[in-house]
Amino acid sequence: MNHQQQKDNSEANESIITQEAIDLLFGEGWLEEAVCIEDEANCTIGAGLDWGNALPPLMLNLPLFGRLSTLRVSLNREVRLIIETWDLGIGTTSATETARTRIKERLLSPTPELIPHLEATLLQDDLYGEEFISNREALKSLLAVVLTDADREEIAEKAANSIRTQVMSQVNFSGKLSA
Amino acid sequence: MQRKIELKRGVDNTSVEAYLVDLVQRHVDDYVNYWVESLRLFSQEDKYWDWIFKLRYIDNQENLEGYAVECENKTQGLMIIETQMHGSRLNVGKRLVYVDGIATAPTNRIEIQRPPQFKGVGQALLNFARIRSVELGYEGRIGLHSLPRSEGFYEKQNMLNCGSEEEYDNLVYFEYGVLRRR
Repeated sequence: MNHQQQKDNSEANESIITQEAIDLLFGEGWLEEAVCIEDEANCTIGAGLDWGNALPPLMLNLPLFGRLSTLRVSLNREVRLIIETWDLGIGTTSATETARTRIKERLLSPTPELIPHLEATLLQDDLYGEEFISNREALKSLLAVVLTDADREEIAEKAANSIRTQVMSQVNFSGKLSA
Repeated sequence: MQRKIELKRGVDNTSVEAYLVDLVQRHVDDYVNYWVESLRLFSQEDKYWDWIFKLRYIDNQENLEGYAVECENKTQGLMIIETQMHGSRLNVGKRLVYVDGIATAPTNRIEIQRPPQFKGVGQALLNFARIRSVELGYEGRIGLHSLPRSEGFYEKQNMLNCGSEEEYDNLVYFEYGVLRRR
């Protein structure tokens, strides 16, 4: 490797500095490029997890605001991991979706009995340092009270319906084949 | 923080002076007074976002930062980023700047007004998020969960589509990797 190649490689490996980033991102031509992309995409920029038409009452406690979103995505992940172990096959997706919907509902409008459980989890500082809570036992304990018996019944029903739909479509297919 | 930038007028593509600034109360006031009704009227996906609440919240959080684009004394775009808790999907173990929320004024949305009043607002905010990422030592990495109707925008940006994520209500996750010299 010659000296120039070594220099090039070393430059490529060096982290870009702020002024270079500014020059790259807001230098000559950035706006024309941005307009071009905006015109081509023909849509609006937007991002972020939604809470629906009302902020959960627990969010009125400001320090808990960010944690509630972390808790929500962590519960969503935990319930998915749990349901995957149930081996529901085609029913897995509908079971998970139902569970997720109920989790969101419970966080948005917690029952008076649930509130102390949620607050206790939200106040546990050590849980909130990453995008997802890694303490699965804490999440499992909370899920046990977040999801009610009626929720579990509904999750089972939705999974069963998915399996039933699949079976029936297969039966019809076989029938048509034999006819 | 105040960074001078330019935007384009939608009607004739002329350049106009604008500023990227820290999010403060007047931006929230603009949101309440000029945005909310239009967002609801046009059933925009982010119509329920409560920036009033978010502003109060980020004031007390070290890991959150809020920014706005101002042009002609009005708020043209808003963004909140998270700077400490999110990791890269592309390069596991590396931190990134996570765009927690980003939105442009109703008059800058092609779904509401054609031509939009100003163009380049969203891109300016996204570019600034990358600069913050560089400043924080994250080498320009940023990530976000796109609203369904915005996916085309991020695709065009050459952000990597990492697929929908169940944990985030099936929103598609996009990521910019390391910012490299051209």
